[in-house]
Amino acid sequence: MENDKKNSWIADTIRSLDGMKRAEGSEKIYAGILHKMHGAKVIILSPDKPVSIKKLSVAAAVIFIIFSFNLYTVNHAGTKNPKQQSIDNVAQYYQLTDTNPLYNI
Amino acid sequence: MNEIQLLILIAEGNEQAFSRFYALFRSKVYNTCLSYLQNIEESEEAVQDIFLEIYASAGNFRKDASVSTWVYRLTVNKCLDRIRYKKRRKRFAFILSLFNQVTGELQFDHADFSHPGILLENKEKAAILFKAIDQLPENQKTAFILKHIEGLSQKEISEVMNAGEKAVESLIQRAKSNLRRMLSDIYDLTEGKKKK
Repeated sequence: MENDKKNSWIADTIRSLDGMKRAEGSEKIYAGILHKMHGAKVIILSPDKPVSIKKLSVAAAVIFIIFSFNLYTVNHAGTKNPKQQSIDNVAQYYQLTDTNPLYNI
Repeated sequence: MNEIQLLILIAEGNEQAFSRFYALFRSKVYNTCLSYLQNIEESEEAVQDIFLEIYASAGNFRKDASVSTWVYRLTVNKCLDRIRYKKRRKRFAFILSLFNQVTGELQFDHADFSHPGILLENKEKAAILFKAIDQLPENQKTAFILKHIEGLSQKEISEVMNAGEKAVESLIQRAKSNLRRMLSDIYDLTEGKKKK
């Protein structure tokens, strides 16, 4: 008895799609498509993966920043070599500067 | 003007042809998206993405399949991509919500998706069925949706899925038997709760 009730409920549930009508999407969908088509220009690098110009610009900006930072580091890091710097520090600590007067003999 | 001629014009950037193409396929694409994604806003977004892809890749259409098959294939792939993306993001939450941590029993929260095309008297049961469809494996889900919601023939489904007709038939049978099993569990769960 309980099993019959259950089977009938399952059959009714599966049949619940009978007589289903197609839903119509709202008008704003097409407006959205046009907006995306004209608003965000798309570059087709491969047919499966269109890439928006916005994404490409961000990628280009990131590459530019990294490149500039590298260039800056390379140009400024080599001005004094570490050995020379440590000799200067020792000289300064013991006041071995060029201004020390010579022995007055 | 037939669908292939429209696609040729779309590939040349003709927006009027695109608008006519959209009018021809909007309903099929939207309904398929609704069946997969079970969310109106998400389906609308997916429809936009699909038609943008059609606009961008109209020139790549090969005449070895019908235009309808091609559109359905794009739609199914786009919907499955969205579902996979959502699953990746919600994997841990999903696993936690699937099982009750105390009893280990399967949790079933009442379906909240109501397909706008369903008859009023069937709404409640259809919502439960959609929830069960959502749990099917991808290929069974695709075969079931295309057959029982979109009303495609087995031959058309096999073209969309790039599979043999026998394989499609078997997928539909397995989908139905899985749905019966899931619905049986849901019945036990809901009736069990009522009795308690």
